[in-house]
Amino acid sequence: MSDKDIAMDILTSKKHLANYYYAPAILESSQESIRSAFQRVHSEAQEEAKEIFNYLNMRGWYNVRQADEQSVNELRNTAMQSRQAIQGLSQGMGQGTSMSGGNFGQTTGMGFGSTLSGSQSHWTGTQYGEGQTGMGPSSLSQGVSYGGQPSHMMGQSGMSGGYQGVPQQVNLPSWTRGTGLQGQQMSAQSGQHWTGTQYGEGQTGMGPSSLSQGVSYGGQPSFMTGGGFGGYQAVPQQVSLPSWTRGAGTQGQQLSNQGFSSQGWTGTQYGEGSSGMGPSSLSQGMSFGGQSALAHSGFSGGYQGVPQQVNLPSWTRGTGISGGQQGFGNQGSSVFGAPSGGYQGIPQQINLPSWTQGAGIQGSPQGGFGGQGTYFQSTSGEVNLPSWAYGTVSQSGGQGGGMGFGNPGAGRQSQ
Amino acid sequence: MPLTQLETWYLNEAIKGETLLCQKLAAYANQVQDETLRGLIQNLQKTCLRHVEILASYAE
Repeated sequence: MSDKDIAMDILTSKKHLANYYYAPAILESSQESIRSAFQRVHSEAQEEAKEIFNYLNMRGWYNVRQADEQSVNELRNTAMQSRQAIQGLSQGMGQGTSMSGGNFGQTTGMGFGSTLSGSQSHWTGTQYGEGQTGMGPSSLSQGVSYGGQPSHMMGQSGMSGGYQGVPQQVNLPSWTRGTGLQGQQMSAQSGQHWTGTQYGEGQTGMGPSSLSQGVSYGGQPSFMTGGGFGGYQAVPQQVSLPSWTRGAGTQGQQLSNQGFSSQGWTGTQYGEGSSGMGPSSLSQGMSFGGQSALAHSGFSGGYQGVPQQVNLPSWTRGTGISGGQQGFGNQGSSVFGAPSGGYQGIPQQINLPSWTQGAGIQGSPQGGFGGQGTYFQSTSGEVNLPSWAYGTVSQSGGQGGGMGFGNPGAGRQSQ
Repeated sequence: MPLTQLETWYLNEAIKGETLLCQKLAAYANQVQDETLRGLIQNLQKTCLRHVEILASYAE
């Protein structure tokens, strides 16, 4: 090996340790002493990496490329649009502002709102990660929600409009309080190509970040809308929802055709390996890709996410009054018939409360046309599913109300 | 206070990573031609050993 090769290898090793281990470890350490130790080691690793870089750069062995004009212009546009979006958001405070697809509009979704999203014929998913379009190792990729979500949380049906994000602790502002009683939402998204999402590091990876929590994106046309209050989609580590989210909505009707008759891959890459998440065990709470109709029928709209610990408030105990629902998703209808909407995610450990076994007033008619009929998919950790997640619900996931055509046998799938 | 699962995992991986780097640096120190780089590697070795000590102390 030449000196250049050796120096490059050392630099790569330093960067690997700093980015893939120390950076996320700092964020995931709960003990201050361990956190400080990781911070110290991380800082020193960065300094040493810079020394090696300087050594290489001075000898012309590591040249950096200047940004081209197009990239700089795109950056300027992005910065300008972001400023405008933030300004619009701040102006919309208190007016029932809804966020949709990265645009911050002022859709005052009170009462009988309806949205209709058109079909998309190409890739509607999102590349997310570092590298080509990467996020870098930033720990800031929390609560990101984007891509292929044509009509959700537009503020039509909910008591509380919608909130989508991944806070560790949820403190929603008052403007999210809505007053709608009935909400009708139609979403027709029939992608012919890949509508899913690449998620992970490597080719399009997330980098080492342990922060990829609560990401929700890609091909989710209409979810969490039919209940008493809009929806809440998040992946908090601990959920503390305010009292105003206790809805009193009556009927929610929802029709979702996303993913139906799609010819291309509408699924999602998720996990480690070729497109993996890297060392991070932090890939928690992602929900994306071809999930059409889940978590609807209950009184409480739905909760979709993957918390480490779920402490759902009592209002989520279902006494839902018939939220009619038809799902044609690739993954089918995840949790059907549960009185309080559904739960879909990839927790390390799930302890669902007893009310999830309860006796809500049906979630029918619900038909699951899932490709696999899978309603729960896990990649890591220990999963303690409640009893309703087995057996009968599995049946209803595939053949809910006699309408389903999924594979009822695939009730639980682990990767 | 007992370690959390994540802390344990990261400590374990970091210790292994630093140990491997130390081994590589020891081998590289004998291979490089440039004295500047050799000195740099020797400094890195010291830091690397210290990192292992720091991290390993939490495993005790």
